[in-house]
Amino acid sequence: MQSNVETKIKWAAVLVLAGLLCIFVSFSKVHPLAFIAFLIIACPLTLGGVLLFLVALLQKDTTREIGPHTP
Amino acid sequence: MPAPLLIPFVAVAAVLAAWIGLRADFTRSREGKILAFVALAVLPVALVYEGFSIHMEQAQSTEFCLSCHVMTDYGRSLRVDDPSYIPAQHFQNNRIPRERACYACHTDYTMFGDVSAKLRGMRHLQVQYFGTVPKPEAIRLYEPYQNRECLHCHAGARRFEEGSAHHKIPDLLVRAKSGQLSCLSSGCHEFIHDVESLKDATFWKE
Repeated sequence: MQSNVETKIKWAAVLVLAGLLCIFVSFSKVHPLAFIAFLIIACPLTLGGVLLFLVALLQKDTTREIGPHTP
Repeated sequence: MPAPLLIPFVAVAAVLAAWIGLRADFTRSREGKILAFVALAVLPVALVYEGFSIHMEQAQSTEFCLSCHVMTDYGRSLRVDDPSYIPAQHFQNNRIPRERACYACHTDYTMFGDVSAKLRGMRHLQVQYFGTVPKPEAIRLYEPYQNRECLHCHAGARRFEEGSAHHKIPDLLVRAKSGQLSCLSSGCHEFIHDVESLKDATFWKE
């Protein structure tokens, strides 16, 4: 069974991956729209993913602790 | 760092992030946690930082400035076949780097000039995509053009210091250097972009 920490890590990875793809696309052309896309889409996605991962690291994994001992 | 050099790092980070996403259970081990920290924190933050600085660098390019439709005539004015047009004369004779022609003249050569130029650029982007774009001929500078920007390159140059035109009036250079007499609006170097007159102009063909 997947713990809630692992679920958060999975979502963090999805956000980071989406952000990195946007960063990659934003480098395809020197254009103001590419810069706007980087600033408004890529940065929030990537940094949101990083933040979610850090939250997951700090979070206590309750699923795994109570899982095996629950009657 | 040029953008093409960053692309392999983006690719590696994306592959690692995808792998961690698919195998989240790997993060139960100590090594897995370290790898996840690198893939989902260190690399993305470094790439966002580096990406931002690359985009800022690219925003200084002539290609970037002229990619907005409203700037098309300003770009054409760089190729007017008339040396009295100051931007054209500078652009065509390599007095400014052609790939950064707009930025070379429209940044402030002060301690925080780059920052204020970037902030102005952000305002231009906001107007371009979320505001009402003015007509090219209605575009004006935020404040009168400072001699400081001209003197950044010209001060000390022999042609500037000893040029006969600059000694027609005894204290002309002193007044120009102190900012009392504008290089552009005092009737000396008055033809700037003049986008209204471009329909009658002839253009330099490289």
